[in-house]
Amino acid sequence: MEDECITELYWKRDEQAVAESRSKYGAYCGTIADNILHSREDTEECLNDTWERAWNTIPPERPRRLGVYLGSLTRSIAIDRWRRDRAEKRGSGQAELCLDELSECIGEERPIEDSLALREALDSFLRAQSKKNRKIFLLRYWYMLPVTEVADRCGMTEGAAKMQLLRLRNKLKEHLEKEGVSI
Amino acid sequence: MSNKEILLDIIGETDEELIPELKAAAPKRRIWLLAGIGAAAVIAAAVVLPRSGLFSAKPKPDASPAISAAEELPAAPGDSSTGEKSAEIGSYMLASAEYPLIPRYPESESDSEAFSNWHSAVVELRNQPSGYSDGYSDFFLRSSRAFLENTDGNNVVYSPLGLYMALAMTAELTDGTSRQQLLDVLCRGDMDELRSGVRSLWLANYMDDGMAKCLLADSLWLNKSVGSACNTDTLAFVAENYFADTFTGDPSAEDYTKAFQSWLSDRTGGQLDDEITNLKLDPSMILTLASTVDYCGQWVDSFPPQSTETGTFHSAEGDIGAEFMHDERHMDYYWGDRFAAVDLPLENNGSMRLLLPDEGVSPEELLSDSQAAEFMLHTNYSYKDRRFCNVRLSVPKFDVSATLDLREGLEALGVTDIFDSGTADFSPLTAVEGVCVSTAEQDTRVSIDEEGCRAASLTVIGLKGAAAPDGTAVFTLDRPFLFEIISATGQPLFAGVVNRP
Repeated sequence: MEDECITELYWKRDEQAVAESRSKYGAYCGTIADNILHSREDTEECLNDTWERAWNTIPPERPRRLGVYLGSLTRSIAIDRWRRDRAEKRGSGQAELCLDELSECIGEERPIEDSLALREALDSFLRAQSKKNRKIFLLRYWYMLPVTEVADRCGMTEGAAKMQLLRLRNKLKEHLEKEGVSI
Repeated sequence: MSNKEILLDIIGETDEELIPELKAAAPKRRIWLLAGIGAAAVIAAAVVLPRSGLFSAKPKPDASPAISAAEELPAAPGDSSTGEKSAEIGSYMLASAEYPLIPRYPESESDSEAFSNWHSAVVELRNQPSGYSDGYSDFFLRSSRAFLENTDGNNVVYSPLGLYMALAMTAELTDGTSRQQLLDVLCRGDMDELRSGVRSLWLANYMDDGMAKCLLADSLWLNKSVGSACNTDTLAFVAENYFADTFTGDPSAEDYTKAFQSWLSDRTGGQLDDEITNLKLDPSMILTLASTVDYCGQWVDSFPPQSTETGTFHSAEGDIGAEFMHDERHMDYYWGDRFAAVDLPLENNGSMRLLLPDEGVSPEELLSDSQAAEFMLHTNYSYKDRRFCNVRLSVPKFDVSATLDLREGLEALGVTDIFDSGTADFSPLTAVEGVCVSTAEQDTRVSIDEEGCRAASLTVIGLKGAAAPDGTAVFTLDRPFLFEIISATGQPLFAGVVNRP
């Protein structure tokens, strides 16, 4: 079923919307959750929470891209769960690795209070990148795919992907400093 | 929260327009071009005269007035939506059924008005009174045991919905104990309940929108020479309430049989042409009833063709080769004490449920298993023993067909009188005594292959590395198994046992 049709089912409060979402995007969201949580049980629970949250947020939301919307819900839920359990799960999954890598882009001397400014700065950074660089960055830090898979999907070697990600992090650091977001 | 964690969260709020696809979306193909799964069933039952012949029989004094069906049967309003009738068929047609009109599934993703029209039409059809399928569920459980239990190592498949429709029409033509036996097997209290239930079932399951296809059709084939002995009110009532086309002709004429076969072929999408060739009108018949189900669907998640390979299927008679489709995906995995099962969704058209009996358990034994029955009838994820996990699927391609002589199974279910000219009561149809059902047969065919919509292949590719190996369920259908195709509203359309794919 087309995304718009599924969204329309949500708006009509037809529970088939959840079944259709689950059929079409279960694997997609499962991949995102598993990259973060690295746990089958946690992924399952995370997906159940995703469908529930989608049901509760559409309407009023009307996603332009349903898959990405559901994926972002999964990502957010998975990260919350990962934070809650991180003491036990440290070292597993990609979230910890991504977080370590992102620490190169932003200082911790002073807590960020203006998250809106950070969002705008990140948005302008991403829009300024080539399509390929943006894809590499988001596959790694939005989907939290392992670097090897980022490389596969971008048609490059793992070493080249790592190098490109390093460059992008450095560029982001410079951009955030320039925008006055990072210390 | 640290700044880097805030950054991680903010990345998650990136404008969705910037988020790359994990794989390229491809345009959907319409099922009319390529069917991933096909199924069809035809049931035909002939009501015949006693050996003494019609013309020596005397009408009952209190019988309804008989009129020449060919001359005076009222035509149902409208025309068939399923296409132009051939001149050959048209020359025998008295009335054509009026089918529900469903707007075509919108071609454009952004055509919200078209979608709204389509959605409203579908919701109206599917929004039937609560409990309308209760009797049907019981009928399915009982009939599946009667028709699928004795396979003798052969593939067996039948359409409970097609059978239900044909028996309901037969009930309209009968009275007394003959009718009561039919009501009992159809699990309905009286004719009013049966009529409303059947109408709801018909409407809830009918789908013809260019995207999904579940075409139900009925027809009545009259013997022209004995039309004057038939009650046209009864026939007109059946035609209108069971969406039946009505024909009249000489059953001994080759052209009339050809028209009959042509109608069956048309209503089953040509899937049963081999079987239909053998279906002929009985020259001694008064009336033949036909009920068909033509179904097509595409998998939501296709099986990658490059993964299909020959493997071993352990049939009851020994190992045989079969082409196995392989895939790995996140999905619900179901189990019971004696089986494992999956439910493979079809684009906007229900799903196929595959039940693998545990080692040492036959598919036939599962037909009497309460958990299996619960699984086969569950809707809206109400079956509890399931887990959403990574599943490694190995499903044999199959193309199974079966011709069922329904009499034995129906008699086992308690429908006996209509087959015996001494006990059959067809008084609503005709005043002639000694009329009975001579033949009751159902031909069914179900086939599956790898095809499905490309939007689903997005899902399949997305599974790479999605689950840890220890979290993967393995579902290999390499021994006799049970399958069921359910409609979008959850009713069983087809069920079968595959002993040799």
